[in-house]
Amino acid sequence: MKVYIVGEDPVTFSILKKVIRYCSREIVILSELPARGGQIKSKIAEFNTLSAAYPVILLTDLDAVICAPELVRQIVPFNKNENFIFNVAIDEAEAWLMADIDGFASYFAIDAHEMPTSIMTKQGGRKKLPEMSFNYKSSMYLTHELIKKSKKLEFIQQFTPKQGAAKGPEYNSAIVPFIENKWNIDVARTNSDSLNRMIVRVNTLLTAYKQ
Amino acid sequence: MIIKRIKLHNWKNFQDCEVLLTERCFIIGANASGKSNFIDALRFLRDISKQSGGLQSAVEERGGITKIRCLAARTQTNVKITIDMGEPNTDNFLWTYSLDFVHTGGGIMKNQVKIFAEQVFSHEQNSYVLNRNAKTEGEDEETLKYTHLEQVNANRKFRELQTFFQNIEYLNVIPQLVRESASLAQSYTREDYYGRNFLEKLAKMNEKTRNAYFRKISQFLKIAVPQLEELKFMKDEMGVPHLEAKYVHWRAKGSKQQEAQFSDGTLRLIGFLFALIDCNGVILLEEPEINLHAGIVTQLPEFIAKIQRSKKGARQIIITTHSYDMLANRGISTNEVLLLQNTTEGTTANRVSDIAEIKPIVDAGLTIADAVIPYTKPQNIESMSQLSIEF
Repeated sequence: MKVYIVGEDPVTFSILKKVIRYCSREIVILSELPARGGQIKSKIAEFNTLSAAYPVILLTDLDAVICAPELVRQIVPFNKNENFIFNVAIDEAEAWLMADIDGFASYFAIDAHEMPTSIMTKQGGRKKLPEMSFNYKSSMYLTHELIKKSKKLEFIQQFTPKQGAAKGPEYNSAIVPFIENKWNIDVARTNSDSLNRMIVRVNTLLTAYKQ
Repeated sequence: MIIKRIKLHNWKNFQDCEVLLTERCFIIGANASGKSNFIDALRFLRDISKQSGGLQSAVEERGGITKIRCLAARTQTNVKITIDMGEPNTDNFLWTYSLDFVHTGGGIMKNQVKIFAEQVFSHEQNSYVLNRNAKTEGEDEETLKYTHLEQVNANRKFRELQTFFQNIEYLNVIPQLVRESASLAQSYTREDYYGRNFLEKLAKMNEKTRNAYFRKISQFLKIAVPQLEELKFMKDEMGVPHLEAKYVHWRAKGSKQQEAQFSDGTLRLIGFLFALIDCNGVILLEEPEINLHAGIVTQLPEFIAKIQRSKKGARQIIITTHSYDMLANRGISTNEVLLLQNTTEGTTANRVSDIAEIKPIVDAGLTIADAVIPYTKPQNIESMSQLSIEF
């Protein structure tokens, strides 16, 4: 099966590629279409149209919106094509990474008991489902609080933003190798239902394609 | 007349490549994918056709046939270039020129090239005007070292083609070379690809034409670089040609500046504008976006279209680019963009409209830039900043 992927930054692309590979090695990524911050909303109709040619798998962050279904309602106001797989990471892609709690801790040399944990929350539906819990945005928590507890100075330097910057000067190049080589999706999906649902969606797409 | 199709066989990194061209053409591809090599095939024909040019010197200038021949070439070692020409917006060709050559000499003999076949087909007459090879009467080892394209006596029936190829302009203005007047002396004998003789070329022009061009260029420059006024051409006491403009900023009346003080972007912009207006045939532009602000680059596609619509100026413009801003223009058609991709059997060149995975992206309403830039990016480029730089 051939697909296009849409992401906002190198981290989301890396996650998309890893999750897709986790689902099946038969999926070929035709192109990585960039939708930089805020562009997703303006290009959404085009991605929906594009999915008629080949499936489009998109990953975006929930950010400040209350719940994922609400975000989808806001961004996708029309009938979504079946082959347009719209995934929302709760609350951000970084939370999915930290959902591999022990793996993340050991890779970045942080004590496991310092790591955030998952709690059961409601995302629109009736059932409570697991998601990682943070006091504020997970990427902010990572760069401003968690990484400072690392025993490796190198990680602290790479992640800590300079004044006026949103992310650390080597944020992407520090986090992408973790995604590619160490991130354990089997563990992470048990702590993040939004990640689990992306996997289910991709698998459903694959099953439908095979029929 | 424009170039409507190019076929390359064993030319540099193209083992076998055939592609249709339009009046305005954007050639894109990763670094080292062969964008410059592609347009070098056209410069090669120009080098053969120009005065004091010729096949042997065109090959020699490129370091001999071993530097030209495709590394993927194995059993077939000939190099072949075929060009179809015709009027824009028509489906027919007027002329087809084809040159097929191989290596000759070696050992104690001089390394040269020998023509395997040279053909000119007139589509109007539906016949070959020229069709020569080793078996043709009157041909020998010596005559086959020269193309008929380069010989005025031999190309009477297709002189039009010689002129057409002679008029191919290549431009990649390097500001440092325009400024460095010391390099002027060394460059008289060589072609001016990089703007070395730009000022000298201006000096040789008819004054009226030059002034008219400068008035036009000034108008554009005034918008792109507002603090630069009254651009003009002058010669100093030593007779050395200069560009001069008034720089209005911190002095009440502004101060005069010459090309040595112009910014890189300003010099490149002047060079491009000048070439686009001055050329009346095919022009090859190498990455015009360099040194220019994204805002100016965004305007280039429409500016080029405007030039082509006008009576004067370049008829066909072939541009190599990496620029997202340039390709984000909605007026660029998928037929106008050629994507070069490296494969195990040499490089392929395809129009975006013919690429099954990219066309749907543009058809869905995304820009050509969104659709093609991801394809020109090296696969693992992200790992570049993950490399260790500890020694």
